[in-house]
Amino acid sequence: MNKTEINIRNYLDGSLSGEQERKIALLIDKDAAYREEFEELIRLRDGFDNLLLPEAPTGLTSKIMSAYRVEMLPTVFPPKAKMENKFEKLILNSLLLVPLAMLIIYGGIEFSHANIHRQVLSEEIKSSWIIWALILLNLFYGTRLVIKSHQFTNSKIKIQ
Amino acid sequence: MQQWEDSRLIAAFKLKPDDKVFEVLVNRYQRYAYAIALNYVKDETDATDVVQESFMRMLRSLHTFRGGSRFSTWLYSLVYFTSVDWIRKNRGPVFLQVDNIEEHYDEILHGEPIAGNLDQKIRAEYIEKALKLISEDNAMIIRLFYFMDQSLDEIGIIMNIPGKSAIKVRLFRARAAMKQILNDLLGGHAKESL
Repeated sequence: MNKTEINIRNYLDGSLSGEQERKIALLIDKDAAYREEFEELIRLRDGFDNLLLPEAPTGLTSKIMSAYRVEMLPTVFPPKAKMENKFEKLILNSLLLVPLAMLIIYGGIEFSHANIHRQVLSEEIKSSWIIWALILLNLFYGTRLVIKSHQFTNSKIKIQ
Repeated sequence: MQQWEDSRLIAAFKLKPDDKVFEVLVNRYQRYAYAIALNYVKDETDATDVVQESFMRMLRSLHTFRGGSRFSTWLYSLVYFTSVDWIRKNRGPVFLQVDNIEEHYDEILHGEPIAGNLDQKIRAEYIEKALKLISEDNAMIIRLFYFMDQSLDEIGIIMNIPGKSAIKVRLFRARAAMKQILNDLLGGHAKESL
């Protein structure tokens, strides 16, 4: 590739500085060789302009959109489900830990009396409505969590 | 929404993912994405798979797009890398194809030499033919530069080629290869015909 062609290509690509650009423009105007090369490259560029990009096949949009819908299910909805999951896990854990801690504390009283085999749970625990309420709540949330996770899995399978 | 700029569409989508916003982006860029994919994978069905996968990659990583480049540049680079991955997966290791014009001489000389001025449609057909004869990467650079309005810097981003001068050299080489092929195709009347 000769220097003239390189200069003109740079000129057409717009990669020259203002001063260089003016220099080449002047050469194209005055120099016949430059003008001829310039016109040839312009014709080549026009040829590119007339070239059409291949048409995308019909149905490509719907193909992409179907994939999009499948892709979006786990990304749009699950974060919320995940958050709920985390929240529920926290509640579940606290619901498990609180009665457990109470059992240890109250049970510890019984343990200190060396009555472990006969009476692990004191009467106070057995009759404590708080403990039973916590255990019931624990059961309720646990069941709800299991049902919800089943529903989510089923909806995912249906869409796929 | 059809008239919205890319940046506005992306901001809206990031705020609240919406089918319609995504569809506008798909309709706006699927033809370009398809052209890039077809340039590499050659088969139309495979190219549609590559385009679909590219848009899914775009969707998965849209949160990482910070607008450092044009959205089109970013998307084209995803299509480029998805195409390369596809080739690697389906055809084994990717080797850089070089312009070996001599190998195509039979094909080039198969057509009758053209005399006189060509109309624009025929000229475009010859250019398309020449694009298929040069290497995939060189054809890609020409397509990006001339048809997809990407600057040299942007082509560097898309094809992961560091340095503007490297892209410039490759663009020069691609055009020189094109010119040689066109000269052969047009039987010495290239200057008058192009």
